[in-house]
Amino acid sequence: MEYGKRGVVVLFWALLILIAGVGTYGLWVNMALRDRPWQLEFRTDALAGKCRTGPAALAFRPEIASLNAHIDGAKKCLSEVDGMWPARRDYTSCVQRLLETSLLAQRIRWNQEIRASGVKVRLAAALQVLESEMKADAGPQTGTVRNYSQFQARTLLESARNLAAMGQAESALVAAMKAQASWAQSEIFVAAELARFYDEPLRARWEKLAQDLLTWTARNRRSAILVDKLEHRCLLLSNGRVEQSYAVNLGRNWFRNKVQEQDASTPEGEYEITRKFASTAFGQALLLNYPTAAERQRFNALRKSGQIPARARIGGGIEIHGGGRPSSDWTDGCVSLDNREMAELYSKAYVGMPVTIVGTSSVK
Amino acid sequence: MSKFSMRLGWAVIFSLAASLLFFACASAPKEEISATQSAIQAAQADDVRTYAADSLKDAEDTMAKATAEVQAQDAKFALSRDYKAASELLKQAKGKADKALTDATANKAKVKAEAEALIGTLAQTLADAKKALATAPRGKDTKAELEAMQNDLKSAEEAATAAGTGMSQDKFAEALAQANTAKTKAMGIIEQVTAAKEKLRGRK
Repeated sequence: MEYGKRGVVVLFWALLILIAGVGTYGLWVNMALRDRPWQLEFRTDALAGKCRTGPAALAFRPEIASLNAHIDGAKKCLSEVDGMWPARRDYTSCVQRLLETSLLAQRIRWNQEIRASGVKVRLAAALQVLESEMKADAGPQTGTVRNYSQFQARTLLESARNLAAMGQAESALVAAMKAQASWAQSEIFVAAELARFYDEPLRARWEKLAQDLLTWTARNRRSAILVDKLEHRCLLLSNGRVEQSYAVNLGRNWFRNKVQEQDASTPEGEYEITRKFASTAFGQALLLNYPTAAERQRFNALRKSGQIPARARIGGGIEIHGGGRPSSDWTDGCVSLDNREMAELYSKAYVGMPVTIVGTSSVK
Repeated sequence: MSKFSMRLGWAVIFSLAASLLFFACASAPKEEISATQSAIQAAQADDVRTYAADSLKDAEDTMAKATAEVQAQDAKFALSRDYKAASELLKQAKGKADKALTDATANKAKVKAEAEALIGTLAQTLADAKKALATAPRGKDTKAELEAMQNDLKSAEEAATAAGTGMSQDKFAEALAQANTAKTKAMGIIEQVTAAKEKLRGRK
C-alpha cells in the first residue's frame, strides 16, 4: 500500500515535470523564430540567381551589387544565429533581412522581366514593321530605287529572325534595329534620288516639254512618243491626245538622268528616232539620237570640272525596244516594252519621229 | 537516502532526459542543405540558363521542394521530426544541379561544334557563291540580277563576319544564327545562278 501511494506521488511529480517541460518548450518555441527559415532563404537565393544571370543582368549591375550586399548581410545573420546555443537562437532579425532581400530581388526581377518583355514586344513590333515595309517594297518591281542598304536590311532581318528562333531576343532586337537603320538609310537614299521628281522648276520644264510635244502632234497631225519615267509609261501621242499607253522598264538607275556610259540611267530630253531595227537581241528596236549636242556639251563640262572621271565616255545606243518584263528595271538606259506592245508601237513608229523622255508630266 | 527520494531522483533524471531529447532529436541536415545550395548556386550561371535552362529549372524546383520539406519538419514537434524525405530531395536536387552543369557544358559544346562546322564550310560556300557569280550568264538582261546577287553576297559576307565575332566572344548560339543567315544567302545566290545557267541552256 505504502509503495502504491508513493508510486502515485512519483508518477504525479514526473508528469508534472514533463508537462512543465513541454509547456516551457512550447513557450520557448513561440517566444521567437527558432527554426532556420530554409524556404525563405532558398527562395531568396533562387530569385537572386535569376537576377544575376541573363542578358538583363548587365543592365542592372548597380542593383545586383546592392542585392549581393543584402544577401551577404542576411547570410551573416543566419550563420551568427546558427552559432548560438539552441535555447538562445532567434531568427527573427534574419527573417526580416531575408524578407527585405527577397523584396529587393523581386523588384529587380520584375524590372528585368519588364525589360525582357519590352525587348520581346519591341522585337515583335520591329520585325512586323520591317516585314510589312519590305513586303510592300518587295523587289523586283519597276520603279524601285535599288541600293545596298536594302539588301543589308533584308539580310539583317533574316539574322534577327534566326536569332529570335534561337532564343537570343536581345541580339535579335539589335539585329532588327540595325535592319531598321539600314532600311531608313535606304529610304533616305530613295528620297534623295526621287527628290528631283518633286522639284518644281524641273517639273515645269518636263511639263513644258510634254505639252510642246502634244501640241506638235496636233499641229503636224503626226504621232510622237512621250516617255514618263516616274510613271514608267510610254505614251503614243497623236492629234494632240494620248492614243496608247504602254508599261515600260527603264535603266537600272532609271531615277537619274543619263550622264555617261555604264551609269544605267535613262536619258531625259527631246530626241528622235534615227533608225528602226526589225530584229535585235531584244526584239524590235527604235534607235534614238542620244547623245544630242546639248548632252555632249553637258558631258564635256562635267568631265572638265572633274565631276565625272576624265576617262568617262558619254555612251550611246539608247533605244526603245522589246524584251520587257512584268517587273524590274533592268536595261542600261533603254526603254523596254513587252514584245507584243513593242510590235504595235514599232508599226506606228517612223524615222524622224519625235521622242521626248521626261521625269514626269500631267500627260497621261 | 529513502526509496522515495531515489525514485524522485530517477523521475527528475528521466524528465530531464526527455526534455533534452526535445532539443537533441533529429535536426535539419544542414551540411546537405549547404552543399545542395552551393551546387544550385554554381548552376545558376549564364551558360546554364542559355544551354540547359530546363535542367536548371528542374534542379531549382526540386530544391524548393526539399527546403519546403525541411521547413515542414522543422515546424513539427521535436520527437516526430523526420528529415529522410528532405534528405532524399536534397540529394536529388544536388544531382540535378550537377546534371544542369553537365548538360550546359555538353549543349554548349554541341552548339559550338555545330557553329564551328557551319562556319568552317561557310568560307567555301561563300567562295562557291562568288565563283558562281563570276561564271553567271552576263548580258544587258542579267545585269540587274547580278547587281542584286552581288549585294546579297556582300551582306552574306557581313553576316559571316558577325558569326566569326560571335565565336570569338563565346556567343555560339548567336554565331550559329548568323552563320545560318550567311549560308542561306550564299546558297540562294548559287541556286539563282544555276537556274539562270539552266534556263540559258534550255534556250539554246
